[in-house]
Amino acid sequence: MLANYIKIALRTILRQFEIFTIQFVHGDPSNALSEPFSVVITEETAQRYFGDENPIGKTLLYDYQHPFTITGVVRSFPPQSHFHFDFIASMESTKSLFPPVMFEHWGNIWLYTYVLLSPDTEAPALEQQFAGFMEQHMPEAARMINLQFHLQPVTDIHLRSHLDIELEANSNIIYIYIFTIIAIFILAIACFNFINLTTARSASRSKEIGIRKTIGANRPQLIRQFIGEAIVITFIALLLGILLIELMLPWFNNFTGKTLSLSSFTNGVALTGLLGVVLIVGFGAGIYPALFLSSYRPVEVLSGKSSSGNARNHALLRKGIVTFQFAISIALIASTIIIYNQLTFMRTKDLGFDKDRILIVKLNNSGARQQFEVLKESFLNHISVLKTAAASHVPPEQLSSWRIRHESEPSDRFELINVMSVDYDFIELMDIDIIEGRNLSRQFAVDEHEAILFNEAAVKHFGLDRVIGARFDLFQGLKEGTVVGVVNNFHYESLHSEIMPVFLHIWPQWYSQILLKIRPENIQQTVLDIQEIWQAHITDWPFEYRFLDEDFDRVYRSEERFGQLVLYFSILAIFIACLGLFGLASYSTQQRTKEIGVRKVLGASVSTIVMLLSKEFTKWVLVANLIALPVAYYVMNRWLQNYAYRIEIGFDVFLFTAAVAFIIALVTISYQSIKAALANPVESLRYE
Amino acid sequence: MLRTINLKKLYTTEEVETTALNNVNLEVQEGEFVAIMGPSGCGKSTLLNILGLLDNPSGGEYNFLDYEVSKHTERQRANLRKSNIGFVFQSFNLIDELTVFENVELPLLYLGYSGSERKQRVEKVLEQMEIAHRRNHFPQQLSGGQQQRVAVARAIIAKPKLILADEPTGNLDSAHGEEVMKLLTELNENGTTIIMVTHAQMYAEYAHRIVHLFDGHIVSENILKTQTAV
Ligand SMILES: Nc1ncnc2c1ncn2[C@@H]1O[C@H](COP(=O)(O)OP(=O)(O)O)[C@@H](O)[C@H]1O
Ligand SMILES: [Mg+2]
Repeated sequence: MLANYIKIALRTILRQFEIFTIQFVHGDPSNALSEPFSVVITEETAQRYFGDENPIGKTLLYDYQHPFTITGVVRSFPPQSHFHFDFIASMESTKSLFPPVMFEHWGNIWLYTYVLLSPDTEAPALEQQFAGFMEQHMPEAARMINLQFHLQPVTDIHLRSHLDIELEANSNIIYIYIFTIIAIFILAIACFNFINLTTARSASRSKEIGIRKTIGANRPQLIRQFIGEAIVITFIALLLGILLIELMLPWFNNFTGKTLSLSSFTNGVALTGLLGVVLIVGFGAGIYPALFLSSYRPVEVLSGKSSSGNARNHALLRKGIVTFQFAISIALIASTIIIYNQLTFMRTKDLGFDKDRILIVKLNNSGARQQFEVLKESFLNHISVLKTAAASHVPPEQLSSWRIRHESEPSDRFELINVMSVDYDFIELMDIDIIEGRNLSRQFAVDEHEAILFNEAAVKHFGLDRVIGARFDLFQGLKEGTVVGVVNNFHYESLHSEIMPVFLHIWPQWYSQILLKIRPENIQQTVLDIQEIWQAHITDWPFEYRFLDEDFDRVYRSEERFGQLVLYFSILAIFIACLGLFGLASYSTQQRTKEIGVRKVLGASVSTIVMLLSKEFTKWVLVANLIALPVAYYVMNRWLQNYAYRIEIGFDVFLFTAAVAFIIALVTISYQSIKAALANPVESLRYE
Repeated sequence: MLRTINLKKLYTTEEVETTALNNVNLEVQEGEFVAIMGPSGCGKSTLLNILGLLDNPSGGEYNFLDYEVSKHTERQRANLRKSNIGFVFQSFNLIDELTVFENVELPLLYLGYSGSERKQRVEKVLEQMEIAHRRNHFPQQLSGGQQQRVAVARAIIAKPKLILADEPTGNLDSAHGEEVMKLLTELNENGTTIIMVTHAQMYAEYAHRIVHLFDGHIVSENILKTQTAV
């Protein structure tokens, strides 16, 4: 039976296996879940409970009391599915587990409904008929709930759905767009370097070209040759790239928590796509140098009249390219700073309560739930535990919502409001401010049954003249509530979401965790002691704990990864752009050797020369800033819209970014310019 | 004005060691006009570079304006050079990206003159060199003779005591060559000391004295005329 406790995730209750492709290892898909209290489990789950034995026909206990018979073993969903499960129980079972109101009331939206459309059905056309459908089936009394049904493709859920209470935490398509754009930009920077360096190097190939032309090569042949060379180089780069992916994937997977593998590239579409990219990149990077190089006139080249005039015409293009490269880097630097600023803002913002040193112990079974007061007492006896409290939800968990109605409203005018069931000690432990009225208190006998606290948002929502003493009907007659106090707008969710109206009340059935405010010293030992106390009371369920501040940190993990990735990309982009700038600087100082020599002979100091050489690049970096910063502002502002609580993008970010860009540019060219400035002018003027 | 004692210059590259100058003893008085002649590669430019404080000798002594400068640092030399020495090169060495005016202005810029003073002095020198009407042209738009006049203008703009000219007529036809020699003679008559490297005896004869250099040392000197009193 239940030898080892392992978390039961009774998350998804499906009746049929017709919509999802679920592969059965044991059992019969057609009737596996037709009976109440039958359950289908994944291979991993079977392994966990029963090892290598065949689990069919065996029983699992749900929450001490409800035996489920195993009727099937299936493969887990692949990682890219938008949800995952350990157990699937039959829909029939829920009828015995949940109260009738869960099935009868139209406002109880606890099911995720999947429909399989016939191939010739248009989703929008079907959606249009929903209103009529509801009219036909919904009783008059349920109409004011304001329910609407929408369809969304299953494949869109992970990236494009941003609803509350999703089955699993979703991602956002904007990240895919951002990284695609960054990838294209980095590729563009690299291509521009190729163009820049090839044309700058052209002098050394001019002789080859002259000779080829003299012996009869025509221009199209040369163009083909150069583009061909570029494509071959790109292809070699592709092979190196694949090798790099192979080497970096373990690290990347570890970093992102994904399970990507190189085999994602070994299908026909991906390979054709990659080859297409090679051709496009090779052609794109090769076409300009090809036209440029093949335009040399052999007589000029071979008679040594060389390309200096030609080169000057192309100087502008080179500078334009380096400017563009820097613009990209600057935009990335600014974005990195903004992302980290937002992260820091979220981590450090005053949440309206004190999240530090709060240990959360999960009431993970009904035994523990029933004796939560005894547990609280025993925990509090420990020297390191300062306060204890119990609650249904602990920030940043998603709250439940109840329909509540002010007594003056007609009996069908209720509002869906978030609810936290807490005990008397919760507000004090969390250090939430009471800004009006009083806290829930044992001194008032009625509190146990009717006192409720509003947050400021709830007060605003109902817009009552006098909120203290206002009476509400909770959960349609389940309970009466009287407002005894108002608490400040504390962040019971992450800063992604705006603080919505919430009410707090005493409701022990729902308590699912005990909070312990502990002393800062020796936390590890405290946790061990608490575990011991737990085990003294609860013998057959494991001790599960976590820290509230860590939960909050975890909410921002995807932002943190996003920030890190953008940071790495910025560094890469800056590095490549600097290579380009370095090349340009060496080319340009070489062009100006004579000028530098003359200036030194006439008395210019080393610093004057370095300044002279730097001035030109400074100009281009300035232009790059002017291009990049508005773009970064626009894109990052869009990104920040994801957060209800966000930073203002300040001017200082842009000043700082511009300064960083200038410093990086100056350092990059400093080697060349200092070298040029220190050179003995006699040398540069010698070959007159 | 200047005096060298056993001046030596060695060039060491990976393969060879060249003795460009070997025990050169030369003395030049203030107000003198000295021409240096010799075959190609005998060390004329090397000598001029050292006299012009562009380079340090490998050995020997060099007194310039009563300073022993052979051990001066680059910075010290640069400071001494800026205000005392002007250069004229065979290939003019004008900066293509700057106008005639800006080219001539450069030395004053590095000496820290104010904008108005620079303008005034450049205009005056451009008049003197008869190229004022070309002030906004770029070097490439001028003839060789005009370019060399710009170079001379630039060499004298800071009123140097010494002008070093390395084959100033080398790239000019004879008419323009004469013109430049007349300019230099005029400058010399107004008190500027001039040392000039040349291949052509006809130009060397403008000088007071011709020094013959061969294989890095002085082989003989001709005194042509005595220096006119300043
Ligand atoms: N920077 C240098 N490195 C190596 N050898 C040099 C250098 N400058 C000049 N030389 C050598 O020194 C000798 C004298 O050169 P130079 O003074 O330029 O002669 P001239 O000006 O009389 O033609 C030549 O043999 C030349 O090759
Ligand atoms: Mg020479």
